[in-house]
Amino acid sequence: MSAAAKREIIRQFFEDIWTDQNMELADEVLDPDFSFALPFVTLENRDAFKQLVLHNHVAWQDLTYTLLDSVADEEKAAAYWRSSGTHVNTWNGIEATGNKMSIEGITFFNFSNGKLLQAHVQNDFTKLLHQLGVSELPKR
Amino acid sequence: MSLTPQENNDLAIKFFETAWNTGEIIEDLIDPQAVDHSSVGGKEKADVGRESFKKIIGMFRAAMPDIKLDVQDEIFVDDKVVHRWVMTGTDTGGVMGMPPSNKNLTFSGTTIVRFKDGKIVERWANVDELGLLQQLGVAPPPPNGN
Repeated sequence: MSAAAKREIIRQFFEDIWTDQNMELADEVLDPDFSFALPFVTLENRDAFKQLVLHNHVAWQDLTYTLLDSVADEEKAAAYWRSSGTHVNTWNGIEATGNKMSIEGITFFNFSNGKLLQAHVQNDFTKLLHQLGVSELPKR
Repeated sequence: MSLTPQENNDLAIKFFETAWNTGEIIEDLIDPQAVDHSSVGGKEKADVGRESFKKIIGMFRAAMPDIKLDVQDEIFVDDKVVHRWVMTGTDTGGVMGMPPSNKNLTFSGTTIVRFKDGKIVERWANVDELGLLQQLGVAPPPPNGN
């Protein structure tokens, strides 16, 4: 699979799946065993990831992922992105604040047989919690 | 002199391992006008120059003098290098202005750098700061993915 084809899948991952909730496309480009690893939790399969996307669209109005840059070789890809939205329902135990959030992150992807198999996500959760007014955090 | 992606990666490994593991910043490998896009520590805007990187290295090495970088996966293509990494260290100096916890800390991150003529000219990084704060007991529990 070419690097260009991988970059197209990465674009679809953010714009069509995360932003537009295209679950048919998720079934097409994600391996059933797709794992989505955040530093503090790993979702172990494609269905769990699809639930996360749908759930986050309930918590965040106009949840939008913008692909800022992507890099791919013959086996792997990485993306630098921005996520934004308005906090309209409970998320992570935090009741709706109406606050807007906008954070950046980098995701490292591994493929298997042309499908996405693993995503290792790093994003600025600390900034997000500050944007929601979580007060237990040390000042930045 | 434009280098191959493999050569860029070799330089990136040398630069980051030397910086994190010994504290030495190899100035020949970072452009004086390098742009740092990372938001580590709440930085709001891109910084230009070597100082911002020296400051981050200095801050973490003062907190954890035995800090060690372990690159777990990498991509190098065209002028970019991506490293997915884990760092470990003992908090004997105090992280982010807090008193030393003497805990062994582990945190992960991903860094992208762009090379030009054998020097780093741009850097992006995301670091699990929240995880670090949680290990120190000063942040609320992590999101559970829901």
